[in-house]
Amino acid sequence: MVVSPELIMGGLVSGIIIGSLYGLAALGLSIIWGVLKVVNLSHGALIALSMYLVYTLSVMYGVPLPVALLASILTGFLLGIAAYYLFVHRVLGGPELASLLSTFGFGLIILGILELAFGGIARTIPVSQHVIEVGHAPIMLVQIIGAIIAVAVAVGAYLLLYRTWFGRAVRAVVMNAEASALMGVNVVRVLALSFTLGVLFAVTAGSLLSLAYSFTPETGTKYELYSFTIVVLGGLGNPLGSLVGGIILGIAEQLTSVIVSGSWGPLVAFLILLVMLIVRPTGLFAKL
Amino acid sequence: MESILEIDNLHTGYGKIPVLWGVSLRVEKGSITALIGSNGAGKTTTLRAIVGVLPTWKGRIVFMGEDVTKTPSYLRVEKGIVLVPEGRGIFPQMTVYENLLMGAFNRRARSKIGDSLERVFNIFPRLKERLNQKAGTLSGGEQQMLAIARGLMALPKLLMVDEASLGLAPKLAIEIMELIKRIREEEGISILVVEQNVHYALNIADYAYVLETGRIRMEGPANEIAKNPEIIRAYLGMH
Repeated sequence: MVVSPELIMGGLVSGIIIGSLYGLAALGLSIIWGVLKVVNLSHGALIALSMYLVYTLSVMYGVPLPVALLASILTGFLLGIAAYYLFVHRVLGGPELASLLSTFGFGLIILGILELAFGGIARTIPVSQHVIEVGHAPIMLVQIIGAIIAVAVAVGAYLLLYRTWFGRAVRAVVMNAEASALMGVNVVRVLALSFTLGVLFAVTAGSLLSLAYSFTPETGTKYELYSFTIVVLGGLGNPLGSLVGGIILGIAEQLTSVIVSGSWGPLVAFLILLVMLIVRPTGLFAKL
Repeated sequence: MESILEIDNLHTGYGKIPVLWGVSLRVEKGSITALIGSNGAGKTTTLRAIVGVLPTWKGRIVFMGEDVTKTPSYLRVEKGIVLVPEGRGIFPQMTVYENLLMGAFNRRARSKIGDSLERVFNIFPRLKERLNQKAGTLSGGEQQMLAIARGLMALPKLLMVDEASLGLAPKLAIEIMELIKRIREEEGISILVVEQNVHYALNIADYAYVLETGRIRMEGPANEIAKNPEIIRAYLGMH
């Protein structure tokens, strides 16, 4: 196969588009990790869940796609609040293994339900095939809209963290939880809301990604790996870092898939993760 | 005189290990009260229980006539109980300005930020020059000033200052103590200071309590405590 400049260009553009969604997913993992010091091992399962929510509503019940997306995101938000109090709050401050096991268990419950309800067959959500030329590369309109939403949410998250009272409190809790309590911050509320925000970002990314690729219940695992790589690239809790990290990974993945093969994506993610951990384990950007 | 804070028979500790065995003390309105004692006596623990980041096991905490024993700490802060913690607890990656804003986080203080900033800069002019600097890059003395200034931003009615002199050169420590005195005089805020350096504390305080292994051992006007032979032998011998 000849690799033409058009193919490279196409890889770059679709890398940026899809990478911004990876970045949004990673932001979900990153916020929870940064604020609660909890590695959310249900991250991938929540992403998969949101994909099936969109699928169920739009394909099985014929709900209009934008409504299905909003419903999926809202469900994820509510689930995030419930999950915090059911699986996270009680293990905070405990040994690290406790929160790993607890969120991993929550993830397994979600995966089990998805396997039971939908089986392992790959599902696709039919979307408008309308295509737009971006720098000679044909990109689906749906994906462009998804990327715009992802960038808007990441910028919104940045403004929330750096320009609002709530965001300042979140950053204060990251730096010194007890001192934050002394300032009159309701620390438990900050933790619960940060977790919920993290889940919200993950399910928003998942819902949008469900329109781009086919998926099975196991698909979430791939996006969880991508999220870990991006968090290492972009630094903990930094929304713009996550976005840029996501775009870097997206470009690497898409270029690999035009030059070698589409199935090499996770390998590239692993390689980036490995190299970053060796060369610059603190990430490319400053932390929160 | 009317008291702003009254603690009655306070028991608390960490995990299952008791640290305070029934501490009772009061802070009079507009006074500087000192809580002194050696390392590990339970001074910091007392302050943390008063502000509510440590639960009270037994006993009562009454603030301005209201029982706050079971009130969550963020509401106690809003009522005006403010602690400047040992080790300062500033937010290092935030600017000085953001740290001051964090001080005014409680709802009562938030609407008066402009006024508060002006008052704080009047007492700590040096902070005004450092407003956009990351707090972590300040010197030790400046960080202590920021910590106290941040406490003032919360509009405290009772300001508790834990070990303000710790780790500072004597000249700087005395300067900080003088500033605490000025805060009482100019702002009329009641103050509870905890100090390992008994000399500094008794110098600015009106009344003092001596804490020993979780119990109040002695109390009295600060100038009398300073003359007590036992206190001189145990705490003031070095000075």
